[in-house]
Amino acid sequence: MRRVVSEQAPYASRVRELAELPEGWDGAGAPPVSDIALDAASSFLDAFAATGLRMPNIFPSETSGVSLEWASAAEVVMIEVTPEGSFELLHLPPGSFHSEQRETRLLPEAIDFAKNAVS
Amino acid sequence: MTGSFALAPGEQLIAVGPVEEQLFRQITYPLLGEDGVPAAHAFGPQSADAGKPSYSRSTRVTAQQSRSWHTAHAAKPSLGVWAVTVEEVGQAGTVAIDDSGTPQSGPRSRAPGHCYVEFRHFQKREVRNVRAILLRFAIVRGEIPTQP
Repeated sequence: MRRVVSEQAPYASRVRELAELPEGWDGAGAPPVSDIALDAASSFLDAFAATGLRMPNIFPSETSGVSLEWASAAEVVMIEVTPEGSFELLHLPPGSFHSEQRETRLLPEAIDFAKNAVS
Repeated sequence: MTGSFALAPGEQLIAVGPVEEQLFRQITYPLLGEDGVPAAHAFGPQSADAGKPSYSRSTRVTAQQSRSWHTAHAAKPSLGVWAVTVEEVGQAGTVAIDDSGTPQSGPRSRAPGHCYVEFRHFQKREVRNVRAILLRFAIVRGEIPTQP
């Protein structure tokens, strides 16, 4: 059975919402969000919530993943959780047009990346 | 760099003009965040866009007209209008193309002032970078005021 974030967590309802998106949720042919991506995103959110830092917006991606985003007029931090459960990390720093990007399968590395970029 | 983009018959590259031209993007569920900020994905191609996400030209339609048309004709209603300029698209490393003069394929009508931002030549990481840049520009501008 799919593990979904702590039921009382403020982001739990959004994760459930994503889990219930049907095929074609974008009005075209986007596939449903994968269970593996939801599990990995949930693990990330549970761990990141403990940092006390601002939580990300949570979106589906058109490739069946989950996108976790902290965006402002200055910078963009994004973690795209792939359908395979990897974390694709992106940080577009203030004033720059070149984002730092890398991929990891390790949750602690994704958490550290977000902590450093968001704080 | 614009010389490397191949235009189809009827398409026109949108040049940066003396008047700042905005390109309106409709934001739909579930790509609007709880804090009112759209997803970066909303500024790039969706599953049916084939690398050509649709925008509307501010020199052809108002933001309200673009939203009303979208809500009346598209699969999902618009939740709001956000915008980038032609110049900002260039700063992000790509171009905007007016395809309103191309033949229509399929029964669906095309939005007034329709254009697209070119993503077809990008690799995955470039797509993500450009989406993030466009989102950041759009956040600086803020949501364009319209009514549902």
